[in-house]
Amino acid sequence: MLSIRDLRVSVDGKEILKGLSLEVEPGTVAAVMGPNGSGKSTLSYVLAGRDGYEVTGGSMTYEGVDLLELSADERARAGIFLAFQYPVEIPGVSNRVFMKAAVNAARRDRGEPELDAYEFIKLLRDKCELVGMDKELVKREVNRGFSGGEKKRNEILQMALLEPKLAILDETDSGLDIDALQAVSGGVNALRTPERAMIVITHYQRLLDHIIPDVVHVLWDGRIVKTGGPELAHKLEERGYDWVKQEVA
Amino acid sequence: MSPLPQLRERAASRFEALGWPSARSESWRYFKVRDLREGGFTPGSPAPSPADSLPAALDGADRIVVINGRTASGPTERDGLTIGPLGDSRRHFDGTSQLLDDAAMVALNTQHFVDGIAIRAPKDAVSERPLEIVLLNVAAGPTPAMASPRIFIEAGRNSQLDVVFRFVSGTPQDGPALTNALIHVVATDGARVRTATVCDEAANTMHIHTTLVELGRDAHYASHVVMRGAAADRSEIRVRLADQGASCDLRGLYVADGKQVHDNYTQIEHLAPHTSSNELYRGIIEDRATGTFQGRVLIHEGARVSEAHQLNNNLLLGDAAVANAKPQLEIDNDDVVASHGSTVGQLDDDALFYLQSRGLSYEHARGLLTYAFASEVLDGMASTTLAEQLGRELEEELSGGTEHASWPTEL
Repeated sequence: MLSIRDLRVSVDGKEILKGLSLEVEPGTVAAVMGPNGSGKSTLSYVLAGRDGYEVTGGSMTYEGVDLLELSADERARAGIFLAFQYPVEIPGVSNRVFMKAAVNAARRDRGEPELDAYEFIKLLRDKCELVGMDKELVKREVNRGFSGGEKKRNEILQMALLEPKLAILDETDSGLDIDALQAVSGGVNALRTPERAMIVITHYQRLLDHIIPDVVHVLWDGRIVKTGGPELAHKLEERGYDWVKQEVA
Repeated sequence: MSPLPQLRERAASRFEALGWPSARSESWRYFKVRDLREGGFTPGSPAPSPADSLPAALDGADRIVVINGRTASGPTERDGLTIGPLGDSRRHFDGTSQLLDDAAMVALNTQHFVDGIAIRAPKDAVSERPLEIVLLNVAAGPTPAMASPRIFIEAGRNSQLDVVFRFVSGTPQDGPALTNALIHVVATDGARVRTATVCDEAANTMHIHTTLVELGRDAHYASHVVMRGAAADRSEIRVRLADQGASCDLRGLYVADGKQVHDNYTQIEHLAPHTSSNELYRGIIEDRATGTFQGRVLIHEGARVSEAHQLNNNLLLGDAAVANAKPQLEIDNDDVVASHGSTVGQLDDDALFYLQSRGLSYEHARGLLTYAFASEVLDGMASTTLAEQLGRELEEELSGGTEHASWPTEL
């Protein structure tokens, strides 16, 4: 589904990803673990199509299409979803107005009829229940005044509404206490399907106790340096990233 | 003896002495003063009502139609309000006469207004529906025509009154025109008056309105000014918080594109203790347009325990767009709370990317964010119907679509 080959990405002239290769299969959850500064956020932003990330080499192919040819919104409508590490507060924009616009943008692209307010509300109600989101929050402005946990849950709600083929969860565990972590993970697990692929990007192993990955990759200095099963995450937790560093060196 | 002919005579001589406003005056320096001065505007003649130039009526309101400054139709009584021509009652002019000395456009209006409208809300009257006044400027020929509408609103003790002014033009092929309106509001003790002024005139029109407000004890005035049209729009609002507990809330939204000039000048005088004022003005300025907000607040020595807040935000959406933001606070006593702030900027990149990452096109994301920026200004407007309508129109204009359809109340 997603094939990244020897990807090189620079930000402000500084190379962050230095030949990263990664394959993600439909229906699988791939964890990408790495210490601070290894390039985790760069990977998520470059996949989502953010400006300012200059691809200097390599390729990203999604369902046979060169991702670099698609703008951020085209990627989203093609089924790529990024759950932000720091979801943006947008004063004055209603959460549900925004979500309806997003759902309908994708439907238009697929040639499906748009949902009216009533149809959308029905869908929204179902998805709120699925991911355990407080229905009052969707009437508020996008993420404005939300707690850390509410913001992350709002991301998962959007994922539930947009039903992406490939979801990238960027440090979804950051800033969450254990209850919020469980709630958010529960929402993510409810969205696992035999077709949907997920890339779970995280520093710590604890998120992977709740969202069990099929495969674990270790990102180090802009490259995937080690790949294994879920047990690799535990080994990292016990021995720290220095252990990988020594092995690589 | 009637004071009116004398007043007009004095106004004429004052205007002759003052001349058209010039860029030497700080409050006029960003306006198209040259086009105003050299426009050759003379009082326009009466014109029939071109029904198709009128905007659709707001719900349930029987409205007043003013054409070229002359009242063409409308009720004389509604919800306890009495409505009629200004006549020559001293009460209708006294509050403005001292302004003739330095305000050229007030003098010019006084010299030329035709019949005018006096609206009176008696003591304790509470009108449920806003009174809508449509002011149409129809330039009948190639001669640059000037309309001088004039409205006097008097709100009696504890009365409540909402008035909507909608300034529109005739058909686009009409000649150049100037609207020079004067709105005078006197709210006595405990009264609450809200006005919404929407300036939507055609591109060959210059629009100027001066709103003078005098507030008594615990009286409240709320104003919304929305500018979208005209070659040049100017709103000047002067509020006197003349007695204890008086308060005002002034909001403005200016959406300028092309080479439009939108000019807002406000002056609030705190003359008594426990008075408060609040201002929120926002500009969306595109292309080569200019948007200006100048807000003067004077807190006099006797206005102890007073509060004044002012905020002006501008969104620049064109490389050659210009925003001028000038707060001016003059405080003559220590016992006040005052704040002011102004920003000039672009849309937030993080917010744009967030919306795009959910599948919204750049144009759509930009429109939603711009609409969000604008919509807060419309809160609390004298007519909810009008606020909603403006919101939809703005969204359509800014993003090429509407997302703010009606929502079911239950989720």
